[in-house]
Amino acid sequence: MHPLPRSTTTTRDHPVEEYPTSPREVAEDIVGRAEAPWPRWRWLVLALGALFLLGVVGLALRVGQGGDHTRWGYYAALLGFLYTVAGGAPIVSVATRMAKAHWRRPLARIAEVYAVVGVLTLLLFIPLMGVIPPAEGRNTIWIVGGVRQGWPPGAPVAYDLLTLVMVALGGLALLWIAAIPDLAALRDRGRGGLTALLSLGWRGTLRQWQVHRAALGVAGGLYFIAYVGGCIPFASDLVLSFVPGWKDSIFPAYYALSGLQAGLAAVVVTAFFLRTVGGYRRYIHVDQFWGAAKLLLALSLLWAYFHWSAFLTFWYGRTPTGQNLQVLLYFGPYRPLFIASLFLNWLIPLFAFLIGPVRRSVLGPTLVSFSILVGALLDRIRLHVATWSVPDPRGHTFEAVPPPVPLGVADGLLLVGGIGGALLLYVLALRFFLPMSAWEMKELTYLRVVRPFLKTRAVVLGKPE
Amino acid sequence: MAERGVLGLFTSAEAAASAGAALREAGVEFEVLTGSPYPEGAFGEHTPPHRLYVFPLVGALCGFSVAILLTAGTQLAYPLVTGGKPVLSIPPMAIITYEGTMLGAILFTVLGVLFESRLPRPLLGLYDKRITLEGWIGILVRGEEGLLGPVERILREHGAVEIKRG
Amino acid sequence: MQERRDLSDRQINRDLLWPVLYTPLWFWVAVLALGLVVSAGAGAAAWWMNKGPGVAGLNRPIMWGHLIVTFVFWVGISHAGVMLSAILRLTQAEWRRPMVRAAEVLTVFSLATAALFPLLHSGRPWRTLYWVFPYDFSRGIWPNVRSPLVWDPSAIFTYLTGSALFVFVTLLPDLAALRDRTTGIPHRIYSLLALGWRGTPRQWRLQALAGILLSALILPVFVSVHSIVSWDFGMAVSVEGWHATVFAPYFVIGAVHSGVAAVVTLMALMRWLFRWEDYIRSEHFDAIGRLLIVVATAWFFFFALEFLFGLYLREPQEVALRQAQVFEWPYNLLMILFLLTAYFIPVPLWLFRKVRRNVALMFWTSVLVNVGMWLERFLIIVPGLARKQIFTFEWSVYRPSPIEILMVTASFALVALGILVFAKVFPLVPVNEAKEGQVLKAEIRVGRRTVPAIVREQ
Repeated sequence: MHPLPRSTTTTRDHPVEEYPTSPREVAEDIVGRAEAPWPRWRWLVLALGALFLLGVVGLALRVGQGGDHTRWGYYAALLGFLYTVAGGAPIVSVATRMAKAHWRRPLARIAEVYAVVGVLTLLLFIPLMGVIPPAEGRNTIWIVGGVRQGWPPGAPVAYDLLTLVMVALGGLALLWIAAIPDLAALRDRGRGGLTALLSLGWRGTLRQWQVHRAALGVAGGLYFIAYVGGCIPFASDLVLSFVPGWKDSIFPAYYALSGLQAGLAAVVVTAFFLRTVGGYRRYIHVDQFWGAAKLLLALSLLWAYFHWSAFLTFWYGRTPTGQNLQVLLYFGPYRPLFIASLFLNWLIPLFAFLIGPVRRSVLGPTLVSFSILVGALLDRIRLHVATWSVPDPRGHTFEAVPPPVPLGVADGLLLVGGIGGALLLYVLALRFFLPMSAWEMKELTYLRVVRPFLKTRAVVLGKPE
Repeated sequence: MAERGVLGLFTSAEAAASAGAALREAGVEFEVLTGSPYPEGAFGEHTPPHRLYVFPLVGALCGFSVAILLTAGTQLAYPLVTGGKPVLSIPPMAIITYEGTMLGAILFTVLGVLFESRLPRPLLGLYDKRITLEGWIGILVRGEEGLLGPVERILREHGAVEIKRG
Repeated sequence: MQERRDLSDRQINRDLLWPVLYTPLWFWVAVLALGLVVSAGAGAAAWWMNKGPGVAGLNRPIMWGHLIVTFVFWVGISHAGVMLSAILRLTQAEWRRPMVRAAEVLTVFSLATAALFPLLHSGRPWRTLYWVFPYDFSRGIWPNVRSPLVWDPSAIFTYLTGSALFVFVTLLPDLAALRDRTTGIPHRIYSLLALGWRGTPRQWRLQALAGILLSALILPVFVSVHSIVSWDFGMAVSVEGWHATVFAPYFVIGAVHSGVAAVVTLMALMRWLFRWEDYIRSEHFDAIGRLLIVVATAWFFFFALEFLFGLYLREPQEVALRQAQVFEWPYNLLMILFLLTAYFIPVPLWLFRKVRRNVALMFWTSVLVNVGMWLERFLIIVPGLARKQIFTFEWSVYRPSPIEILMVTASFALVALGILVFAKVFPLVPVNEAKEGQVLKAEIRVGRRTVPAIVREQ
C-alpha cells in the first residue's frame, strides 16, 4: 500500500494549492481559531445593523404612507429576492453532496448557513399578510372540487406563511444536522451554552456517524422538496395571481431555478470573501470556483431557456392577455430591468464562462456571481413591482398595462435594510456555526491524496460508496 | 541523411516511463503509443499545444450566418403572413439559427479533432498491433541514422522487450 | 459498494470484442425475428402510403394518434444518450464507462426511427420535402419558418448528425483495436474507418477534449430538440391542454426519464446477452437507479405543474379536458396506469438499495417506466384533440387501427435491430474506456479499510 505522503509542491507549470493533510491540522485551523476575532468584525456588525435599522425606518414609512397592494411591490420584491437567494443557497450543499463531489466540501457550510435568513424572510412576510388581496375573484392555485373561490380557508396568505415556515424550519434543521459534529468539537474546546445544547451529546461513535449521514440525506431531500415545492404557492400567490388571466405553468419552476442560480452566486461571493479576507485560503481553492462556475453556466443557460419557453408561448399564441403581459413584463415600462437582468443573469455568465481561463479562476466566477446577484434583484423588482402595480387583480383577462411604479425613499430604504438585515443574520450565524465544515474537511484529508503517477503527479480521490 | 525511426516496445508502464525519462535526459524527443489513455505527462513526454477551440467558434459563426440567411431568405421569398406574425419573425428565426449555429460548431469541432489528431493518416508507419491487443507501450523516436543506435541502447537498458526499426 | 475487477488489456479485448468477432446462434434468431417484424411494419407503411391515412383510426378532430405519440416517444428515448454520455463525461463520473456508447447508439437509432413517423404520417412522404427543404421547387412557395413543424427537422437533423459524429469520433480508438485484431476484408474496412489511429498522447488528449467539447455542444442541442417537439403542441392555442409555457422543460425532463430508463433496459440486456458481468455490474445499476429517482421526481414536479396550472384559469374547456382525462373511460384507466407505471411503482422500489442492485428488477421497472411514458404522450395528445372543438357533437373517440399498431410495434423492432447490428460491427461497450478505467483505478488505505479510489490529473 502506498503511504500517504505529505502534499507538496507543484506539478507542470504552475503551483497547485493544497489542502491540509491531517485531521489534526484541520481541527487546529478551523475549530481552533473559531473564537479568534475576525478582522474588523465590530465594524461589519455595526454597518449591517445600521442598514437593517434603515430598513425598519423604511418599513415604518411604507406603513405610514398607507395605500393598497400597488404600493408594496418593492417590499414583495425584497421578500422574493431573500426567499429565493437564501432559500436556494442550501440546495447547493444538498445537490453537490448527493453528487458526491469532493470540491463542494469547503462550500458546504457557507451554503447551509444561508438557511438562517429564512427566519427573516418569514418575519418579513407578516406585514404583507394584511396587504395581499383575498383570493375571491382572482385566479389562484387554491381550488378544491369545482370552481369555488376562497377555498381552502385562509387562502392564500395562510398557506404562503406555512410555506415560509416549512422552508425556514427545513433549512434550520438541515444546517443544524450538518453542523452537529462541529458543534461538538466547539463544545469540547470549551464553548458552552447553546453550542453544547445543540451538539446533543455527540461523541462520534460509528453508529452516530451512520445515523448522521442518513439524517443529512433525508433532511436534504426534504428541504429540496420544501423549497422547490414551496415556489409553487409562493410564486403563484405573490406574482401570477396579481395579473388577471396570466396562466404560466413554468413560472414557479423559473422562480425556483433563478433562486438556485442566485443562491449559488451568493455562495461563490461569500467563498471569495472568506478566502481573501477571512483567512481560509488554504481551504478555498480555484477548484471550488471552477466547479461552481460550471454549475453557474448550466443554471444561466437554464434561466434563459425557461424565459424563452414562456416568452415563445405567449408570443406565438398572440392572445390579448399574452400580448399585454409581454408589454408589462418585457417590452413596456420595465424593459430596462428586463434587459439588465438578461445581461446580468445570462449573457455575461454565458460569454464569460465560455472562456476557459475565466471559468477556471477565482476572480472570474466571483465577478460573474456579483453580476448574477444584481440581476436577480432587478429581476425580482421587475416581476413583483410590475405585477403588484395592476390595480385590480380580479377577472380573467388582462386588458390595460398600468404605468410604472417608481422607486420611492421608503422602497429604497426597505431594499437596503432588508438585504443588510439578511447579511447581518448570516454573518452572526456563520460565526456561530463555523464558516467551514470541519468534519467534512477532515474526511477529505484521508480521501484525497496527491501521489506520483509514473512521471507525473496525480490526485487520487477515494470513493467510499 | 534520411530520417528513420526506432520503436521500443514495453510490457509495463513503469519501464516505458523510465525509458522516457532517460530519453528526455539525453535530450531526445520521443512519442508514446498506447492502447488506452494515460494521464498527461505520465511518460515524461511533451505534447505540443493544440488549437482545437478555434474550430467550434469558426463553425458556429458559419452555421449562424447560413441559418440567418436561410431563414430570412425563405421568409422574404414567400412573404405570406401566417398567424398574425410579422413576415420576418425573430423568434422562429432564432430557433432555426440556434440549431444552425450548433450544427456548424459540432461539424467543425469534429473536423478540428481529426485535423489536430493528424488524421486521417494513410500509412501507420512504425507501429505494433500488441499496443492495442496486449496493452504494450511503444516509445517511438525519429531521427537520423546516427542517433538511433544510442536510442536503441537506452530503450533496451530500460526493459524494451522488442525493438523495431523503420 | 464497488466490485471492481482487475482486468488485463488482453482480457478486455477478448470480452468486449467477442460479439464483433464471433456470432452466436441467438443473434441470427433475433435478427430474423426482428427483421420479420420490421418487414411487417414496412408492409403496413406501404399499405398506408398506397391507401392513404384513412386506414388509420384517425378522424376529425383526432388527427394525430399512435404514430405521433410514438414519434414523441422515440425522440424522448433518444435523449438518453446525451443525458448519460455528455453529463457524466462532463462530471467525470467513473460509472459512465460501460454505458456511454450504448446510450449514444440508442440515441442515433431511436432518433432515426422517430424521424420516420412524421414522414409516414403525411401519407405522401416525398411531399414533405417541399415543406421543409428551403427551395421553391418552381411553385414560388417556400417553407413556413414560423411553423414548429419546420423547426422540427432542423432540430432533429442537428441532433442526429451531432450524435452520429459523436459516436464515430469516440469509436476511433476501438476501430484501431479492431483493425489490429482482424485480418482480410474486415481488417481493410476497419483500417479505413480507424483513419490511421495510433494512440499518441496528442490523439488521446484530443479524444478527451472531443468528449468534453462535443458533450458541451450537444447538451444545448438535446435540450432544444425535445423543446421544439413539445412546441408542435405548445404553440397551438386551439387545443385545450396544449398551450402551456411549461411544455418545453416538461417534455425534456420526461425524455430524460424515459431515455435513462431505456438505457437501464439496454444495459440489462447487454449484460445478459453478451455475458458482460465484469463490465456492467450491480454498482452501475445502483448509480443509475439513484439518478433515476432524482430525474423521475423532477419529472413528476413538472407534470404536477402542467396539470395544476392547466386548471388555473378554470376555463370550462380546460376543466372538461381534465375531467375527461381523470374520470372518463378510457382515459381514466390509462391515467391510472400511466401514473403507476411511470412513477408510483418504480420510484418507491428504487429507494431500496437491494432493488437498485438487482438487475432483473431494474430491467422490469425500466420497462414499466417506458410503458408509462408512452401512455403519458398518448394522454397529452389524444384527449386534447378529442375535445378540440367546443361543440360536443364534434367530440370523438380514437380507436387505433391494426396498421398503426403494426407500425408502432415495428418501430421497437427497428431500434432493437439497429442496435443489434451495430453490436455486430462495433463494440457496444467502449474498449478504450474499460482500459482507461483499469489505468485510473487506485486504492487508499484508511485505517484497516481499503477505499476504492480514482486517479485524476492534477
